[in-house]
Amino acid sequence: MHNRKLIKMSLLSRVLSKQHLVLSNRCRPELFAAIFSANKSSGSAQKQMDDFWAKNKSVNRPMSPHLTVYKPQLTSMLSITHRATGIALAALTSGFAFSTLLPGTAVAPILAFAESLHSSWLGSGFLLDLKFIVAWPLIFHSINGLRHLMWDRASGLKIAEVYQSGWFVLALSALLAVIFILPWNKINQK
Amino acid sequence: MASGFGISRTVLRKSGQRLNFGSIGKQCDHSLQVVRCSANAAAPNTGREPRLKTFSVYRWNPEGKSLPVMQKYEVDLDDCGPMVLDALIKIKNEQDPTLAFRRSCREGICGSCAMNIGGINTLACLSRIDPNPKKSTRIYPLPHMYVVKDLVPDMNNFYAQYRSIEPFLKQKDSTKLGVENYQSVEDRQKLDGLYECILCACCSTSCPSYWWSSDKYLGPAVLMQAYRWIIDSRDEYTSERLDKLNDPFSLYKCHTIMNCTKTCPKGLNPGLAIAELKKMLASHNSYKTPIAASQ
Repeated sequence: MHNRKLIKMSLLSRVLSKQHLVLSNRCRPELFAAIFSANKSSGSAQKQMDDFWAKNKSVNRPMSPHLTVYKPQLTSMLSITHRATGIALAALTSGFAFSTLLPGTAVAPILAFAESLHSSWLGSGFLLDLKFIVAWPLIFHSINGLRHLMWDRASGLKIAEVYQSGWFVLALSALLAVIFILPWNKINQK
Repeated sequence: MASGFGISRTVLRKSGQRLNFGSIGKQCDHSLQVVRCSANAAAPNTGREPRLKTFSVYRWNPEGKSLPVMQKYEVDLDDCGPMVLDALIKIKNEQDPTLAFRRSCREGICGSCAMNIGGINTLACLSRIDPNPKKSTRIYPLPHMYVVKDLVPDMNNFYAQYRSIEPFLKQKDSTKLGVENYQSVEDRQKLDGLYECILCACCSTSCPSYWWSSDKYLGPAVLMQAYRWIIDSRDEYTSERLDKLNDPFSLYKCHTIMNCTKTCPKGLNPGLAIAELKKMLASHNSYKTPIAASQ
């Protein structure tokens, strides 16, 4: 009888103390936070991060492989191509702009060089390839740029849509690049 | 000797697979660059041809001065479950008990067994073994993480970043005590596709941007959870949560590479959540009042 009463009392006090904790969490959040440092989480989360870097830099743990092991996918390959073509275009554009400041740079020698290539043993196909190498990055970067603008509106970000738009951009840019570099003046003459 | 041992082994195999055959079978030599450990010692004596598949696993021992190596193991697929985790457990039980990897639920809900299998990040318990015997399955730890041992990465930075976004309900109005937080069906639906994240870190460790900036960029997993709490209609600290992302690195190091959504083993879409976050932050900075996600 006495035992049962003791058990009841201990259970009751435990239940009450639990309720008290719940109440203090909701009605006195600043008290709860002060006791349990809940709202100072950014401070101690930062400390956890600092400890992480300190520990791993001091121990000789290796870094798990990344570029060498991760499978190339359309997502990452198109993204890095967008970045690479962007750098190439920026270099080309500013390089060309800078070259106009230099004395003696004219357009005529470049055209003459292109004409000489046309009649050389390499043939006109080589010139078309060169033109493709210059044209395709510009066209790809522009069309993929439109895809990025679509993504900025949070549209077309389901993975199936990402892959569909990715293949579409590749196909369209190749097609448009071929169309742009064809010698239309010579074709129309015929 | 042989027959008696063979009989007892067959009996044990039928009753359960969780026996440690560590003392039996060849010990593998770690000094070699690529090592073969065969399952011959544990092969059943039924006369059936074992259907062997090679697993090439990343190994590194923190004790000792060696560099990481790839170690090859051969597993009889007819004596193994269908998933990569089954093969790893079989290797650990029968061939090499020193192989270290995390695992728990074996059903794709705990997130422990996240690793890089065949070049992509998935859960080993959900990744079916490719039965083609000519190809070996390559298993690496999650990319660009400090390795504790073998396939076990140091996840503490990831957890600290998750903690930093304060992933819990925060309310200002203390007069709402004792009343349930009512939430409409539409508001609850906004959380679908966000709350199911198991924090396995497959997405964050698939992101090249997170590889290069994991100290300051939060990564897709943490950002999706930040979005989950921002759009929760019951949470009242939306403006403060958005302010916390207002620097060049935490959110804006995402360049929409979309490796995250491609690799998520639960089929979630962190890339979309981040795009919505960027839109919210744009209107937040323009009007200084949070505008709910347009969906």
